[in-house]
Amino acid sequence: MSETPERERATATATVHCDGLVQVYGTPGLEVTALRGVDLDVAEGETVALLGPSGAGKSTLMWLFAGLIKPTAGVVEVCGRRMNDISGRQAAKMRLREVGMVMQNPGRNLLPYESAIGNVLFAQSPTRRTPKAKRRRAAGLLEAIGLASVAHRPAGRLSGGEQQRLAVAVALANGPRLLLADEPTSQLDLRSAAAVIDLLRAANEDLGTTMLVVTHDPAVGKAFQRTVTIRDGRVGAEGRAGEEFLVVGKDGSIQLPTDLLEVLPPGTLARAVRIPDGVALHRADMDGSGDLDALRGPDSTSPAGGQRP
Amino acid sequence: MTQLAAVIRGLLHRGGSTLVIFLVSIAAVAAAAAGPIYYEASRTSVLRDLTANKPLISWGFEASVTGPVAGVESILTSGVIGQLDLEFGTRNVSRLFKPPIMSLEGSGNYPLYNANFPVVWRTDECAHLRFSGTCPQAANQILVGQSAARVAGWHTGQVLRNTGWPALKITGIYQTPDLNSPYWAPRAASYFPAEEQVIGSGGPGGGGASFDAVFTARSTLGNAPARQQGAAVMDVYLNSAGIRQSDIGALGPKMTDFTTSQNLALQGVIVSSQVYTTTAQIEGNWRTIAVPVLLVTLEVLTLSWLLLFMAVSDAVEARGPEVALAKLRGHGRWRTLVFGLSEPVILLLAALPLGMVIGWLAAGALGRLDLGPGTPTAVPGLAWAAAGVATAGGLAAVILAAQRTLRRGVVQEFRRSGRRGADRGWVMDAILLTGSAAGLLELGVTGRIGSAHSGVLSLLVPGLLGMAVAVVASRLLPLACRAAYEWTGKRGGLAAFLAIRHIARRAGGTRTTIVLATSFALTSFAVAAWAVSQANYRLVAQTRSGAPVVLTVTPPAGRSLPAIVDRLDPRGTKAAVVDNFVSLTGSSAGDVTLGVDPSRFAHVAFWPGSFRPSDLNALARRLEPTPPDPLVLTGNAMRMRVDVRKLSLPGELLTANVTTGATPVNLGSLPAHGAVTLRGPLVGCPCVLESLSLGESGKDIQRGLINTAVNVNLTIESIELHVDGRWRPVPARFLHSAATWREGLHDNPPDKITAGPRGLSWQVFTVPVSQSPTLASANRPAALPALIPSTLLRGRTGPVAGVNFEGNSLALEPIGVTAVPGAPGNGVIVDRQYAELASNEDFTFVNQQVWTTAAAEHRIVAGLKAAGVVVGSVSTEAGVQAALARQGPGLASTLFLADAAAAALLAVGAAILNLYLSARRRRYEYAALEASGIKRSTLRRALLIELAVVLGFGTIVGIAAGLGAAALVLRAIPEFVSYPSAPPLVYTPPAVPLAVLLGVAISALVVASIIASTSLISGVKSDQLREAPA
Ligand SMILES: Nc1ncnc2c1ncn2[C@@H]1O[C@H](COP(=O)(O)OP(=O)(O)O)[C@@H](O)[C@H]1O
Ligand SMILES: [Mg+2]
Repeated sequence: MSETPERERATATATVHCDGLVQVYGTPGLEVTALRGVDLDVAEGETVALLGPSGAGKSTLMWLFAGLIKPTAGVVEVCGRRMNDISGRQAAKMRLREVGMVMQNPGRNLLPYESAIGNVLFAQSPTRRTPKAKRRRAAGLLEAIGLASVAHRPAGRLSGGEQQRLAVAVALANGPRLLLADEPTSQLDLRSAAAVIDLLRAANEDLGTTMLVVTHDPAVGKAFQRTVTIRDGRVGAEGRAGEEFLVVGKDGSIQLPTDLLEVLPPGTLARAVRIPDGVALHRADMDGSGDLDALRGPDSTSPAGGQRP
Repeated sequence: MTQLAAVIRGLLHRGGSTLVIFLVSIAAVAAAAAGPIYYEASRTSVLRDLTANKPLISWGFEASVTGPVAGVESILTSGVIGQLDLEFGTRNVSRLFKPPIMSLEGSGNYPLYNANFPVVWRTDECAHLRFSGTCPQAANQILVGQSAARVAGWHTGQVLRNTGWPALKITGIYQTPDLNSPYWAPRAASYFPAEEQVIGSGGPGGGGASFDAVFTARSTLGNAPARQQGAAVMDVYLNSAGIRQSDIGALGPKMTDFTTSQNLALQGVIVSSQVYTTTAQIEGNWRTIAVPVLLVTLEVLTLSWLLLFMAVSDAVEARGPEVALAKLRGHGRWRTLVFGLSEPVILLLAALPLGMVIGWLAAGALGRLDLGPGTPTAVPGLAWAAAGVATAGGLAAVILAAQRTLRRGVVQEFRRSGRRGADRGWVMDAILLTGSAAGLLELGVTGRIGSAHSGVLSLLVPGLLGMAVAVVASRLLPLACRAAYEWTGKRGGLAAFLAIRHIARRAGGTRTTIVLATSFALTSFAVAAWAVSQANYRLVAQTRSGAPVVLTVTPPAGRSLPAIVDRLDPRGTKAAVVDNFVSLTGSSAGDVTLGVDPSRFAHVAFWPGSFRPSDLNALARRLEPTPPDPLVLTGNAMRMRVDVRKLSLPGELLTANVTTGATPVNLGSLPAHGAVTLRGPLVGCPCVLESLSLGESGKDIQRGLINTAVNVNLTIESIELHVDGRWRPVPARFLHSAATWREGLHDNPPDKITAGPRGLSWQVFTVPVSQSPTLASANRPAALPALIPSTLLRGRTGPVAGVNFEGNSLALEPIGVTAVPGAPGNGVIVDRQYAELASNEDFTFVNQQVWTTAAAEHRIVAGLKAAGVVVGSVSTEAGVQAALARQGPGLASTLFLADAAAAALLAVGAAILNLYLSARRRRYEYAALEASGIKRSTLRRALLIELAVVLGFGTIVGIAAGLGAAALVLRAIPEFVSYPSAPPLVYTPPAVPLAVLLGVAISALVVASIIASTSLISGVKSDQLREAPA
């Protein structure tokens, strides 16, 4: 499959690039397919919100990008490095220098008994900076997220919003090129969520950090340049500037937006009709012809949305 | 620095598991270190016990040179010092040996009494004597003994001449010192001969008396007349305080080399020493401690490691999310390892010095309980090594426990479903079961199980059995709970249902059960072993000692000890006189003859309930059948009228044997036929007429009648005593009842004794002339009833031969008993008065003792002293028991008990904390249950039931396993260095200590469970629901 020149350029500057990414969990016999062919590129400095129902594979995608798991098939490249055959040690180095991550569960991101500043220092500890520089940077980060006043309080005793902001600060501690945040505003009230979003945006604007944030929060989607919706292990839709687009997969598959499923409920047969700037879908049982044999005719287009569970 | 601070914050954050790991690590180190420390201390204690109060020969040497007194000293000193230096090295000599006690000995003669006496200078003699007057300073000044002064009428200031010495001036009179003191004991026999005799028996002009030594200044002997022969004697004790344990091995052989040195022999120095017997004894005793201490330490150490492994597994597991976080933050492998292990490793390292100190303190405390007073507790290198091994084992446990967590990926860690630890698999179980089966089999095959073969290896049985039972039981508990699941679901109430469900869910069995069962198996076994050994020590101490307190005494000359005791204890319930005679040759009936006053003895002596026959009073009564009273002779002469019918050897001498110990009363010769009145003087009476006998007159021998037989037929018509100037007849029954007499020579044909109106007729048939026909007074049973250990009788019933107080044969009528108080396996108890009669009232070789009850000891001792009785040694049952417990096996069993108790305490603590932590992790679940409407009290009850079932099960299974092990091998656990032949030892553990153990264990568990469940459930809050289930 040849790529358009435009797309090639995008890949060259992409912080994240994945192609036909498949992730299957579990032992043979009890397998869960979390991702079934994801193609996604995120350009340097871009802010992307990952949307999608629970269980769609968003977290899995993040883990793949962070080098915490290896894909079953397909290609992942992060910051210009192929993650498929990266060693554990190199992956760790990447997480230290280039990829910051905020895990889905707020408690997971912090050492509860360590102070706020201690948590930032903990993330910095493997780097070669001088202790003084580390401290200065940690203090600066806390200042920036407005936690300077509680810098010495154990993280476990901070409020949910503070913890979440701290988690972001920790992920940013070593100035990563890419920040992966898995539902950083879940469990937060609106104000706290807004603070976190501001923090992410600021980091992007000030440092040029590429952002890939999983969220259910429409506010995040609005704040970010692009939204990518994952459904059923695939990239279903993309939104830019408030507008929602379908994404045609490599195998030509598309995922209809949920509101259109009323018109074409799962299992309906549709007829794809070429129109000047695209393809129109018509329900086969509604356009008068009940002749199903005709549908199976050799010259007819293959039915779209053919994935059935 | 900040990293260390972070680690410490982490440790504090996980306070519970930190505490468990820390305590267990300390315990492991302490257990490891305490073993060698205690071992070292107990060896010192044994060394001191076995060398204290040892006679010089066993713990030192005596060297002597004989020759002209003036010159012997320098030969001896230079010879001995030179050889000692050669043998031991100059630097060691002053450490190993006490300063020598030198003696220069010559002899003098006091012509008036023809009495010989030693003339002695001994190092520091005046410091060891109590005397009136002044210490001899110049040559030819002397101190004389009190007894000699009394006999010879010496006084201070008197000058003795013609003694073989220049004129000797008496500057003072000394009292006889304690002859058993270390200073005097080696030479007491030569310096104080008078103490061995009846004082004053030799009067002026008498022959060959010996006076106690005169002590003089060194110069007297240094300038002795050239003809004075004598000796220089050097008494050198070994210096127990300076002798190290490491000296003992070489000491015996070196002393033997020294004793038999060619050099010394050539210089005429004679050395005597038997130190090798003592060193061999010490080494033998040490050996009995070494193996048990090793095994006990290993067992407890293994248990600590097991606990540590479990605690560390939990702790590292609990840190799983943090380790994952470190990985997430891009920490490298090494950093993650350090981060993951730093906490337990720091704890282990911190525990090393602390455990060492605690081990040292514990060993010290234990030592104060059961080692010789003042035994120092040093820390030998071995203790450091053992502590190091314990820590290394701990580190290995940490690494083993941590590797699973450290290897786990980040996603796996965060995405794990539930925190169910992987099933531990059957490998460990298989190894443990095979090991214990093999161990038991080995012991079974070698016949150690259930036998009284003492084998220290049996100490492994409780550990092996405990482990095996524990792993099986830990599998059974969840199975049983699964079975009970249905039932509790229907009928047991919600709390029981929740509790049982929790236990049933643990597929791999509960580690808590393993730990508790193993440690309680060890503990209950140790308690049983300790209690049994203490009971046996008590039993043996009681029978060895005989009574709570045994005083060895010397009554003042001419006074009767029984009379003094009678006055001190008129009711006869608190004190008893015992004549103790130790035969050097022994007899078929035993080596020790104890003469007792039966009813007093029955009140004072130990007679444990297990002894047979059980009624000591009844036994005591059997010791004194009432024979006719003795015929007591008083006055200054006796006479007899004898009518001789027939005497085949005319001129035979008739003698009356009386119990003064003096010469028999010679009554004169008998005619061949006809009546005669014979008469003889009585000296030193009142005394008892023991027998009348016919002896050959010198003429018979001259006439060459040696091979002739004697036939006698005579009648004794009267016996009269000359009292206060008048002749008085003896009571009539002595002549008118044949029962008051019996044949003295048990020959064949027997004599014929009849009583008639004319008097007592005595017919003797064909007795060889070399023997003396004897008519004995039947003042005591012919064969004395005697209590004899059944083991010694070996089923014999008829009369047996014992020894009387003179060491001669004594016919005994045996009464078999379990053991004889005072001489359990080799003693014979007879009536004291009969035994004295049978020994001609000869006390020369008898140790006179007073046995008292513990309560009466002080009063009796004070009374005896007031009456002038010298109380020599005091031995108590408690003292004997303590000495037994201080021997190797006793020390090992105490260590085992202490170690096992500590292990059990630790296991209980660890188990409770473990359950607490696991329940804490389930707080989310409890919060959910509460939110679903289950009452808090139900939750608390559920947790309490769960804790109680798990803890109680482990404890009870463990105790049962320990008691099972006790039943199997208790007999084989060494209890004594040398086993007593009697009484039989008891191996049933006393119930009280076991009940106490069970009570303490169960109440501790109940209290801890209640506290844990209450505090835990009250900490459950509904907002915990928001937290992810960790
Ligand atoms: N470690 C795992 N083992 C097995 N299945 C997993 C694992 N992690 C996630 N899954 C499954 O993969 C699918 C996608 O999960 P996830 O990436 O967490 O989705 P999302 O984050 O979008 O909710 C789900 O069906 C989930 O059950
Ligand atoms: Mg997710």
